[in-house]
Amino acid sequence: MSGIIEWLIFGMLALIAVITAAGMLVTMSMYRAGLALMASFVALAGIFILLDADLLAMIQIMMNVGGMLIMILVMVMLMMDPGGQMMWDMKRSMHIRGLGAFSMTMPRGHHEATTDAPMPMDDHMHMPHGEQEATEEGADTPGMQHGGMDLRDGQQAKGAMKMSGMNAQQHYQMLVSMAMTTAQLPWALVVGAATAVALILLVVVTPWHLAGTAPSGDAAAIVGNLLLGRYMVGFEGAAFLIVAGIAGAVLLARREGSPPSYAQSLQAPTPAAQIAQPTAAKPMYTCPMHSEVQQDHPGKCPICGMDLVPQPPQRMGDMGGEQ
Amino acid sequence: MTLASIHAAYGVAAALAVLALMLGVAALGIPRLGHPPPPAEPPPEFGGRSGHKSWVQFRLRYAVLALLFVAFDMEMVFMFPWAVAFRAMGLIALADMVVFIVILASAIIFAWKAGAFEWEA
Amino acid sequence: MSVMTAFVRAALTLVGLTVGVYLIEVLEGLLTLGQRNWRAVLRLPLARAGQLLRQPDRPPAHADTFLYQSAPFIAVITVGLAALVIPLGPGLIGFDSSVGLFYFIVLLSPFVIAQMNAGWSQNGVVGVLGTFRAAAHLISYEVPLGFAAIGAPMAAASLATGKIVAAQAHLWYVVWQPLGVVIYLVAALFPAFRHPFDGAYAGSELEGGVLAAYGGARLLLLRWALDGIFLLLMALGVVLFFGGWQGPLLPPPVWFAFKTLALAAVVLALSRRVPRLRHDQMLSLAWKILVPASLVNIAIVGVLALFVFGGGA
Repeated sequence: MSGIIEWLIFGMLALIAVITAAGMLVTMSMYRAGLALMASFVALAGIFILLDADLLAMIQIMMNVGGMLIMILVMVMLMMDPGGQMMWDMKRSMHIRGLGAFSMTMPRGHHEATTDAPMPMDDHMHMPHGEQEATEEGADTPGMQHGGMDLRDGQQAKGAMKMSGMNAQQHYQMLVSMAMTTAQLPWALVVGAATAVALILLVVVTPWHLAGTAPSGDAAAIVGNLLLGRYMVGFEGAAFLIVAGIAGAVLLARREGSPPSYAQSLQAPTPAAQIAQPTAAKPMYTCPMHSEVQQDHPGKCPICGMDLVPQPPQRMGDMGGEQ
Repeated sequence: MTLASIHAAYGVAAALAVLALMLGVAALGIPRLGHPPPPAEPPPEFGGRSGHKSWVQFRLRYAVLALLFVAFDMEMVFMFPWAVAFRAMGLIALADMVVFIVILASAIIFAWKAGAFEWEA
Repeated sequence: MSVMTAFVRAALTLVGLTVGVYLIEVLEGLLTLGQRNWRAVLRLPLARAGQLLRQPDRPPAHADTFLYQSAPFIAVITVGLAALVIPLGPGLIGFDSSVGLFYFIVLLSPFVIAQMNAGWSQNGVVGVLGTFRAAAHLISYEVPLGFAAIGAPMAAASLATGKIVAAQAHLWYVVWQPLGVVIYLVAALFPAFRHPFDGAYAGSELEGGVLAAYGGARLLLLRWALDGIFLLLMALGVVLFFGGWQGPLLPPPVWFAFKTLALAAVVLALSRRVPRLRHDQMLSLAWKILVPASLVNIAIVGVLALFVFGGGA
């Protein structure tokens, strides 16, 4: 009886792990991709528990939830479209179907939203030049929303006709050229499937050595003893690896990012900063809440008591990322 | 403990997950019991600006700390088994941990000096 | 263990948690409205819950519907799972895992992830800002909280919560690990999103933050989870440092409940006296003060555990 339950639970966890891993690959939203990977690893942790390795399962959850969280944050910092909304809007208005359009369910309410506020971008994408002006008028004038929608419908019908005129090859090429999928997708699928088959074969063929004894109840104590005894060198070596990781992260971030801080950039003014602020030789400190408080040394705001911050130099295009 | 008992103990966890899910779904169903709810409008965003994009590229000021966090996360994984074995191993464990902590403390000091803890303005 | 007993234990855990959540709400009410209004304070959480349960709710127009709908469930399930390893008395525990303390600390991060999902899925400015602040919470709390909590298993030589309590039969760890207690209690407020560190909600500046677009039963579930995680963190504090269920005369669960509520009341009352910290201040506090202090604490506890309290205590 309990054997059947174990198999059922194993099947469920394995299914979750595989589905979420696939979802990570096909979803448009980077946030969802990170979450899907997280879910996949948590399902694997469930399988570890089924194997009586609960300490390992906990480590798995902790490391991967933390790690994937950082991945999501990095995606938000690097990607133009971390929520996948732009891509989704574009595809919807172009009536693209197929694998590339498969995404882990985009919102219900979203469909209404796209018709309410059409993005100028997706109209321009696939439109003959002569009609561009007319559509722009329709989309941009709030009073003519009805007319705008009619126009859009006409466009969409035309776009759909154009799609149906293409064969599969051309359709795929177009998706590739619009960066909605990658040219390597077929190869990636083949390689992935082959790897999966090879791994499964290995699992089946390998003569597994079954331990005669039951796992101990207190895994943490045993692991701790091993860490301090037989694997002490590895344990201390891991500390060095962590230090190397920290140092690398700090140095990389320093080099990549904008000047370390405004205080430092002002002390050693770059040419751009000099142009922007020809007169500011010394950094001025100001209160984040009360901009009228200005002095040439750090301290507390006399009004609210907050720490004064160095005043940011006025740089062009610093607000927002669009310019 | 026997082979069966470790993962069987987690059966309670599975049962709790199922139960909590069912209770939550039941709670969601309550407004539908008495009378069909009015077709609720989706909540407007503050300032009535519903319809603009907020999933955008965003510069997070604590990015370096986030990387530091991953490294220390890994360290915690070593610390817990060490803590359990600490009493039994005695002085060796203490000396080991002092070395470990000194190495990591030097990493913190390095990151601090390099300005990783400063808020990027 | 049969399937039946598993479900009974799970149900009892959820009921106990719900009672605890109600008591936390009452504590907050007493601190806010004053003791003279105790009748209103006792009724208020129930009235609020009833009102939320009757309310329909609908995701915002551009929401990521799946994440929006699942986030409260993830929060509630992780809180429920974490409650399983809190011992109310000898043998009165959901399941006695040999890695109980680690299990609890690990489960805090999916809880914060659920809060992040709630904010992100709304696709609104306040929600997304709340998400980034919640991520800062996760980066802040985990290292100091884990390092502060490590003092107890060092002394008790076990991660099982029941054994940690049993090892404090003669002397509570608060007596010789006061630094650890302080670090633990401060760091515990980060993942619980309690007052000085509630930037992800920030009533007056983010208009609810990650909760902004929620209503109805889902909001109730999220609030339940938030109060629940605070209660559990206080309960774990009692387990780690204040001798858990131990005490004279009264039965163990009563002692445990009393200690947990007393600790929660003290922490709530003290945290009210501090203005809200911005999340950059919270990150600085965590990494510049709490993490170095917790490393020092580990060294102190190590020396004390070996040379002073090496015997039975």
